[in-house]
Amino acid sequence: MTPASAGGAPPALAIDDLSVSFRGRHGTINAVRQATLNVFPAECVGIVGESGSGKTQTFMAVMGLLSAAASAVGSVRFEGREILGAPVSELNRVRGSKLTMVFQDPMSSLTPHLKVGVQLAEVLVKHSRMSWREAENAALRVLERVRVPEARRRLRQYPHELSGGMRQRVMIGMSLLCEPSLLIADEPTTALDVTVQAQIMDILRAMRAESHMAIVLISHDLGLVAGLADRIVVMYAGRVVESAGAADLLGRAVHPYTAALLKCVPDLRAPRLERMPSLAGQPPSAWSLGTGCAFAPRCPSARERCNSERPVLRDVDGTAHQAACHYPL
Amino acid sequence: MNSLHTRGEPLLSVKNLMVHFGAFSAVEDVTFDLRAGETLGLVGESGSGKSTLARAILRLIPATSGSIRVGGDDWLACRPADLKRRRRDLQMVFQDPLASLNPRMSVGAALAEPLEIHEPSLPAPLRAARVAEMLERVGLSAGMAGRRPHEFSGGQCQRIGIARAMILRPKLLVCDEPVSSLDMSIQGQIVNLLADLQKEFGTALLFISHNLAVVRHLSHRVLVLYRGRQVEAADCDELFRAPAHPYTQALLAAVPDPTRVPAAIPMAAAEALPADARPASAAVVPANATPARATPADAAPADAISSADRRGGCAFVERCPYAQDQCRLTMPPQYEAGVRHAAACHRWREVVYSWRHETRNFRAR
Amino acid sequence: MNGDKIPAGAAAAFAAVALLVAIALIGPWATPNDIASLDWAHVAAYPSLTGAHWLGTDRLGRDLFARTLEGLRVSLAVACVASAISLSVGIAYGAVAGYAGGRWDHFMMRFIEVLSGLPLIFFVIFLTVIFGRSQYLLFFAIGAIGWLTMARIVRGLTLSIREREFIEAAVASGAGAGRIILKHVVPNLMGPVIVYATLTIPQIILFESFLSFLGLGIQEPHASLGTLIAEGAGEMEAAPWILLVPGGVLAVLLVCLNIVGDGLRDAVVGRE
Repeated sequence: MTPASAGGAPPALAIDDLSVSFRGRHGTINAVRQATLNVFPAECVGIVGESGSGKTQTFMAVMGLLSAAASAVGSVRFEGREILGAPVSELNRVRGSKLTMVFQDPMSSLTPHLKVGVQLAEVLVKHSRMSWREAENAALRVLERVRVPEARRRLRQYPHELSGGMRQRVMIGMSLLCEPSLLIADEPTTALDVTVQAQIMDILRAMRAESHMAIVLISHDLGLVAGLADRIVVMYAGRVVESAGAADLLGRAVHPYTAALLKCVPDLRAPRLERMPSLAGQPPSAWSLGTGCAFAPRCPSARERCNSERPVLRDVDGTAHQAACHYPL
Repeated sequence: MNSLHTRGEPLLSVKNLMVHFGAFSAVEDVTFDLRAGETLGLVGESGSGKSTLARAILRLIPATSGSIRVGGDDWLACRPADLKRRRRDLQMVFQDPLASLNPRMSVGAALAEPLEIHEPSLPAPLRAARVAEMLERVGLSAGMAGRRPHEFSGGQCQRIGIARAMILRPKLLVCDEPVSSLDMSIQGQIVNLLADLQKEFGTALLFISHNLAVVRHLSHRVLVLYRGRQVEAADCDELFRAPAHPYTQALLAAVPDPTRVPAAIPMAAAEALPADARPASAAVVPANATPARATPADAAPADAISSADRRGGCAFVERCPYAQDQCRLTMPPQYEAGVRHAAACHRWREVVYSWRHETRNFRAR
Repeated sequence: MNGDKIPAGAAAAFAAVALLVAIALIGPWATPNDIASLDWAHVAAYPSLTGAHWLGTDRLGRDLFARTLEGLRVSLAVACVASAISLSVGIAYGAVAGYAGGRWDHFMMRFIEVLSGLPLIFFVIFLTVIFGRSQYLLFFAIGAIGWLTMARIVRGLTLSIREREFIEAAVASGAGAGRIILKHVVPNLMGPVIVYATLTIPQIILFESFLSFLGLGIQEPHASLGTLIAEGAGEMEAAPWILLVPGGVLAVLLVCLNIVGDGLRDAVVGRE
């Protein structure tokens, strides 16, 4: 069930059979269904899926940030300790220090009325019991680490005085302050310009080279994830449908959904295509899922069995490459 | 795809257009032509002025100076009575599909509204028939006309937005980042729909996006904007083959390359490269771009270099790996870098050369 | 209106209000007694469900049940008419000011501020002196005051709605200001506006009761809950029911309206 890990170390994050559901107006929405995945130390795992695939809710459950209307069952173990459903005091010991998250919208992640330096120093003072002076110096160093120009000046500025890319850097810096074991980045560049996106990805790559931090990169952009991830997990309609090493997945996608996603990744060097590749139809609405494979209505290779029997995630050809498909490519 | 050469006046002719908000210059000296049935891709990031330009063309915000001619007539001098009537020829598709629809109005009513405004004599049953026809044309079903926008997905809302814009068969459709908020797998559906509609109705498209890959599919010509100025303009294939401005190259280099799964490039390696061809990433200092939807009341953030400070030089100079002294002092004119290809860079020849002959550092990352 | 989950408390309160309204409306046919006939045989009679007067009589022998129903009718009528006036004038004024912006908005708002500064009671007394005591004057006076705050609220809402993209889309389609205000702005502010209106109805009823208590509103033999309470206050020791019956009805009505307003607000805000 678990893919080969680097050196047999236990996973930094082990998600087992996690299901998240919401009590909605029209019924129950199962945002995440029995998701199982592991993240090993110093590994970068990319989670890819469309909106509604459950990729964000999975990690909101990990961080204990689900809304009040949501309920999660299953198991989430961080460095061996069960954190799903743990009391807030216990969660707060790891959240923000060892287990950190960077969100999509840098505009709203920072408190508008506090200076940037104060927000950064606060994290250290709370988690590492440093003095304010030491914490400010550490904040300065981390801003330099994420290549914020004129770092000293930035510390004294308010969030609204920074551009989107700079705010996202500050968020990443904030996540790094306590030397986390795992950084979860949820669509960190989606709201940013493409050149700024490239710079943020560079920073994440540099972070990987410098430390033993594990990274989870969530995105709907397979091309972006390919530039950083060691392993890629593809989610659809709340379930994991494919999981493999990055090179393996990109070279040989086994699940029809992944293959279709790959076709949508643009290649500027290839000659221009007449029709832009896309996936027909749209992701299933959360409450209209039937018994079979959720992807069957849009799948070019769907057959009888796909509509009645849900495929289970299993190894393909006995390798570490897993897919949930009756008729893998 | 070659740009179509039709005889006579271009459908849209913009000359030296400026849009200033007080001291802040959002659009500075933009000039281009758009012929009927053609697509012009307008590329730029936040702060480039592309959205402001689109809204100025549609007269949703006032232009400070310059001229816009639509079908040969002076569009900016149009009187209010005429303006309302002529709006039917220039329509817009917005970036946020859900926000551009009135949440209290059914989709059918939203589609019928342009007809009610511009064809008031049309009897109700005929109007309903046209609404139904348009819904089908964009890939939805006519029975959905009674539903409200929040019942639809993002991609479907965008189809509705396109239907509303196209129901009057406009001559020009301005698309302001129409697919940026959609999933990658759905973007192609919308882009292909626009291409189909263009073919069927002969509509000219002004397609605005920061995503070069998407622009490439639809455009005959591409215009690149940076901080309100046009830095490069070329036919689509030519731009992607031989970009002559460093900013265009930075945009191209920033598109993730799926075929190359990199080992992390250690930063030390950057020093080993030839001095002149530092990779765009190492040299590009993050610019303090204005927030995406800058309103007239926002000035650029305090630390952006204001137009006055730049001492008449190129706007890209802080971020440019090719910057030299003359770049700081003289604003580059539009150099002719090829057939129908203009680039505002003093060193455009070296820029083109290095793109075509330099190997991985610029393109792949 | 919303079809959303309205909390059970609010639903019960709404049912209570509806019941009161229904009783008030069928009132004249429900009781053989009318509001003005004096029953000398039963002056200040104790309430008794078996007797001729279910809820007793007042000092003049008038049936309290009938008078309370009349009072309830009048109070509700005042509330409805005054709300209608303040809603229609307030929405129109506020939406136009908010959408127009610039100098128009500036002057329209200054005008409202001037009016708000005028002392309320003197204004009503002034009108009473000119037009005499009448029910219709009361409606007008209360409505004329209520629209000021409504206009301010609507203007604020319009300012934020105006920035939304679908307004831009309507302008691009060639819609004129009138169409945009009517079809795009107003429908989108109705949610918060109706909630606010519901919450001000108790204030209006109280204000009417206050005016009537002072003698500025309803005149004999008509009654409003306010005048009934005024009478009852004088009889508190000897015949407390004369105060308790209309007072109780008023209290129940106000509490239920407040709960309904809260419930509506939660439903509307929750949906957005």
